[in-house]
Amino acid sequence: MMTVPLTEDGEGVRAARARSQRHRRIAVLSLLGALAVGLVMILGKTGPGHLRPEYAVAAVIAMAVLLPLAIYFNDQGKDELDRLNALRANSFGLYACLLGGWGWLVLSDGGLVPQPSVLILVLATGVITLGRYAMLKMRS
Amino acid sequence: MRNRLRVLRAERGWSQLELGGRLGVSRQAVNAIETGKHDPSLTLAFRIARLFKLGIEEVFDDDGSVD
Repeated sequence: MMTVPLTEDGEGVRAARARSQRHRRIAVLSLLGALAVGLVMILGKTGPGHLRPEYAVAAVIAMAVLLPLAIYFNDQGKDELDRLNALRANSFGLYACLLGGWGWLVLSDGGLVPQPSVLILVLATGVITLGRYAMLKMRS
Repeated sequence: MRNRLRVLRAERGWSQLELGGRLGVSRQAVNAIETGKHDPSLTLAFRIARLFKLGIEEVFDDDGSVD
């Protein structure tokens, strides 16, 4: 078969661009959803660490609805390699959370460190999962 | 698993982005398959073979390995 020069504007490139645009739109909508939940929490704040009960319930319900939707639609935009990378990163994050939480608890039982903080554990798990995902994405 | 994806793509003058768009996967996925970092699923392997109008064993070669 004859070799032809590389082209960047075939039907495949157009499909790839459309796919990428769809993915960006979903990411923007997910971000807006997260901002809306954040706004509810800011509006309902009565003091440091205190939230009006109705705002707390609204934030939890909004998150319970928006998070699965965001995960579902983000997953639809992923290809099989990206899905595999996300799965591997989530597993890594889960192991890190279980090991980190357990280790912290045992060390605090031994009086070596303060009681585990749920907020720190959740944030650290998120950062570790995202870091692992970025690493896997860069490698592939 | 070895494959002839890079050669088949070059014969048609397609970039990785072009091939990825035609297959519904990212450019990174095409690159990972070409470099052997990712073995495609059976569904994607069939889609690739069908796109090039070839049999699946004409694109992919597992060297007869049995896991």
